[in-house]
Amino acid sequence: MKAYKRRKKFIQTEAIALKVYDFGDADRIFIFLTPGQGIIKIVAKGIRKPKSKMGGHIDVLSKINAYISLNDNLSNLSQVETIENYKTIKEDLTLISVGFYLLELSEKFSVENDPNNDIYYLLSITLDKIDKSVHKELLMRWFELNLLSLSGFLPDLYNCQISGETLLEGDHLFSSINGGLVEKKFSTETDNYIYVDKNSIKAMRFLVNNEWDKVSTSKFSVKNLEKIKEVTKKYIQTITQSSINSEKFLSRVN
Amino acid sequence: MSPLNNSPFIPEALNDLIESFRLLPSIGPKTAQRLAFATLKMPTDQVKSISLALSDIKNKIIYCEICQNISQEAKCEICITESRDRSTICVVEEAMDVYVLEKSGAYKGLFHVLHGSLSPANGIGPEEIRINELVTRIENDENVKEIVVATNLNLEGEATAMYINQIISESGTKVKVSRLARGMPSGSDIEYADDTTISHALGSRVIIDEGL
Repeated sequence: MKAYKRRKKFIQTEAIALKVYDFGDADRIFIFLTPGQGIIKIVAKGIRKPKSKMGGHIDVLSKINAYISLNDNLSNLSQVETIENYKTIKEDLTLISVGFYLLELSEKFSVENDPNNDIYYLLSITLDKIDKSVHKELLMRWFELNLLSLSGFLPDLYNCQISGETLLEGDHLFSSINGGLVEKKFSTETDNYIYVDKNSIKAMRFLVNNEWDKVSTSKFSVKNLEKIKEVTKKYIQTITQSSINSEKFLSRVN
Repeated sequence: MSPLNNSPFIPEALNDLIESFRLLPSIGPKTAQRLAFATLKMPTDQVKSISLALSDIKNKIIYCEICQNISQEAKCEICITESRDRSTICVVEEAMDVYVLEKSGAYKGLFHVLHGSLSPANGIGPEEIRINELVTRIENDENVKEIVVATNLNLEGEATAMYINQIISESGTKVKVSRLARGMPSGSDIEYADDTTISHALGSRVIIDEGL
């Protein structure tokens, strides 16, 4: 019987490089976030050699157009073109640390070979907005809450997670374990809660429900942003059951 | 996995050797088998010599107390050579990079090996690489006038270079910090160069004739 040779399948896709590892003598493994395939892992052969034609086109924190030959085990990157190199981010250590943080979060909330256009476009829009004048803390909080929303983990900010009642305007408690706000009277029934004032609750709701262009022109107090940071940090840790590695570096260089 | 691995027909000692070779980078199951069978066919004294070299690498190799390069003595050969330029320290990611720069013959100063680069997403921060040792070294050695940061030209290498620059300026030491030039590799065609390389090459262009 004549041997059947399966034809290789090629795809062309836009992608953002989230992570990279050295592999073999001169190769690298990249983890891409793509609009149509979710996370994909590919090998870029010979890319560490100075004369590699792909080397300058691709690095972590680059938006590229990738031509990938799909294989059962590890797919191959056969050609690559830069769409956006995010030069502004790469020339500033503080912005790089923000970039690393956004990439790590996107990886944690995306699934391999599972299309999730929205997370890709959220990351892409957020990276496009970063420059020296951007309010970094506000952008990160907006990104975190929208990432939680798109991945189906948005905490309930309107109903008490214990009684089920609609929350009245006022200060409440945030319980990561219960997945949202609870009334203050339940403080003995939920562990590790965070006390959240009414303005911070309003700010969180506003961030989830609005596009960046509207958010960026609105005023937020430092105190509210700090509180939202405390809530999202604790909640993300509970969901992912791990801490975000790049957060330590982010707080160190900022 | 190759059908030979963990087969009951393979003697345990040979199987252990195959599994040991597989721990090395770039060695797959097939190559591990070839290496194990090749070792079996070698004369006993050669095998003993390989075995001795393997145990020596862990017993005898230490890090130089000055530059953190690999060495057999407390201070490495480069650090004790009097003729080297003591005003310049070239900072590299790995010990292998020292040998590449040395081979070029273009650098006569001292080195500092970080043993990695900042990779926040993988949990590698400044404490995990030897940046603090570099700062202490600069603070305690008034001969040092320039730090040449020769970390890799990727995002992690660039972040490491920027962090070194930031921490040296914060330490208050008056040391110049420079970075390796970026541009077209020798023998390459402009046709295939990417935008980043071209823009760096233009930025670091060299004047052939002033035209005066």
